[in-house]
Amino acid sequence: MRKTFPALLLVFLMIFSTVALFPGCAAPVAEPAETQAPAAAPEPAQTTAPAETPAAAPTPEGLSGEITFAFWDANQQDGMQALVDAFTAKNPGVKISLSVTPWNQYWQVLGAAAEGGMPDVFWMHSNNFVDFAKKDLLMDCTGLYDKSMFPEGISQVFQWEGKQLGVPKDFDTIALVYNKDLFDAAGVKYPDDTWNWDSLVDAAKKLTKGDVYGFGANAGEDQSGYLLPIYQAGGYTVKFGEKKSGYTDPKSIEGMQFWVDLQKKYKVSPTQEQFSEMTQHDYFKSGKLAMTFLGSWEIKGYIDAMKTLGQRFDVAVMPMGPTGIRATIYNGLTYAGYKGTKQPEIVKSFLTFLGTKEAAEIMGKSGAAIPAYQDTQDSWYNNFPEVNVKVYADMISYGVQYPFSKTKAEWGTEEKSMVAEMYNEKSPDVAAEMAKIAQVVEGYLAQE
Amino acid sequence: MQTKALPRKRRIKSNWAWALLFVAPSIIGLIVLNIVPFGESIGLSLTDKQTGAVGVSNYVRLFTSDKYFWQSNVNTFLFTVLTVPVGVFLALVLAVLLNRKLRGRSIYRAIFFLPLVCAPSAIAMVWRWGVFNSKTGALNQLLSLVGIQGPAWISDPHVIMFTIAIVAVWASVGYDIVLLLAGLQNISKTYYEAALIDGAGPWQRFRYITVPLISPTLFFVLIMRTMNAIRQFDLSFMFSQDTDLTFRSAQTLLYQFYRETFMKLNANYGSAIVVWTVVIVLIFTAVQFLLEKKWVHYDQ
Repeated sequence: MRKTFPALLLVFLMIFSTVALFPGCAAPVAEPAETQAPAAAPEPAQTTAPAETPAAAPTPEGLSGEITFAFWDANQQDGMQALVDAFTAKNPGVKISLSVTPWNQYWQVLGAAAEGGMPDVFWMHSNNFVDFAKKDLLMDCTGLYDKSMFPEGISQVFQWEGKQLGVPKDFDTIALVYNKDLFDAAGVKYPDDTWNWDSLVDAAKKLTKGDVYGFGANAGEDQSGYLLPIYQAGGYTVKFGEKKSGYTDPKSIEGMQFWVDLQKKYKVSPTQEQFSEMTQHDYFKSGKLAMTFLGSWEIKGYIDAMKTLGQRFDVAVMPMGPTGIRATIYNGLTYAGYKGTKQPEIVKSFLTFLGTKEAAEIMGKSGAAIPAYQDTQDSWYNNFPEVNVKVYADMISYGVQYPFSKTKAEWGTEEKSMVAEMYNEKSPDVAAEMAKIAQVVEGYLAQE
Repeated sequence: MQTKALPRKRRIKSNWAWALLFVAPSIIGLIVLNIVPFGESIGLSLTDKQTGAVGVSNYVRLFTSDKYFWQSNVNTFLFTVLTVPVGVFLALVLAVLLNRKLRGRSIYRAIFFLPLVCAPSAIAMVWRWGVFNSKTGALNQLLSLVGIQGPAWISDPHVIMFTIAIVAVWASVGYDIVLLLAGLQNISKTYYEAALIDGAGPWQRFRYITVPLISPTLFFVLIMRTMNAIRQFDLSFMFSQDTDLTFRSAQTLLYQFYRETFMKLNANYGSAIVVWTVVIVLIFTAVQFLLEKKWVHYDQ
């Protein structure tokens, strides 16, 4: 009896905790879904989890208390610190601690924190917005910022049931970067706004010699990769709110075929096997790649790397598609507030500050990212006089929002893997593979 | 202590009280951090993410329509077969060699143990860039000196599991050596002396004395190694991303769990994979325990 009792107790506990998760967990806020790491799994490297906020009562005049501010890009830490310093200068009673978690772990940590230990203010990305909005984790920010001062498209992305669930932070677009020294050595004219796909391939062919490649077309890149030619051909992948996808549209197939051809047919790009050893960024930064598509958030890193390398590079607008269509992918991040924060007054006040012109210029000046607030983009450009970064903002008029939906995390991951898998064949049947992708993605869209 | 004055029943109760008190931190930790979360995982796996309905939908999807699942099982099995026999045998041989009175023996032991105190991501970076890179890595450069063109260790899907297995064995052999050494030290020298008098050669001594007498430790090492092999994640994660061509061949069961839970954000489905992994581990361990009686000798 003495031995069976503890054993029974353990079994009971296990059954109890199993059952505790049933229908009751359909409730919106109480969903512990993404949180528990199962006993048998080894932990993937966890970096700093956001700290618990101590419950300090906010005083009526003069805010005081502590909040945490979480984000994923260490390159932007200085910028975020500058924002925090500016805010705490006006509100000396407030302390804001920063928490940086690399992109690869950010969403896990945030998802696990949803059970407890959620940061008060944090960056939100369109990929995961709908998920967080549906779980009712985001604070209503309607009215905290002046909508007319920001591009319309960005406010739309973070709208949910008529409410703005975030304050716009920045926008990013994708442009063409090229190594000037390699172009000079090959005697090729720099890219300009007359370029289309043919010009790109011609130049890339002339630039590919020895161990140098003309253009980096990594199958593993969507936002800075295959999505660009798809939209430049006039196709599309997923439109928000639609259950049918655009992968099987002949124009989408044409776009994807172009991306594949850069590796397989024109042979101006490192192969997918080579990319598993060195990414296109590594190739470019070691002077072995003449061109690639690059998101604006990478510019700072590239400038530093190319300076160290001692070679010049510049940015140009996207080439036109075969029918003259111009397209780039844009996306914008927001600052989000945790709905269940213990310091709602401080969070609201901080978020309001973050939506002002002053905050936008502080962030732009730090070189962190392109502020979304109207007419503040110069603060970002001025950081990089050597490179024509204005191009990034110039393209926004023909930018397409980086596709997203509630189940983006699932179909976005599958889309990328399935595209990469195509490259196993010497001559992939792009139409057939895109049909497979459509089937998988629409399976997820149907569940929404 | 007044134990002598207490009647027997109260002494037993008071002993139990102390015992429970000391064990309580571990037990509480075990329950809160392992038992309860595992129970919750089972519950999660039986809940559909979209509809909240309770049922086996995740398992049905896993076994019938998941295009990666069977390959993950095969990859995990392959990895286990590659690392466990080789790793344990290597550890045993090295432990036997290190058991003699060598000069600098402690240094050798420290060197073998060193990988265990290195972070897996650091290990992966050094092996990926410094050793296995097909052009600039040390291994292929060494091979080319002998005129052999080394394979693409990291980018060839046929080779990737071997690459990961090599690193895995390197990383874990130190731990097994330490355990086996402890076991070897417990073997009384008199056995060897008697064997020498009888004229037994080194292989015979190894086979008839060392192996039987170290079999309890060996058994433990085999079980631990098998369990760890089935749970392999960090090395395959570091050596292959889901957009590499090697991914299909490198994805293990727990890598698939990671991808489903933390990249695709579907913890319910991921939990089903974990529960399956636990079942596999249980089966392997049960088989090993069944075979225990056949070959493990416990010294009386």
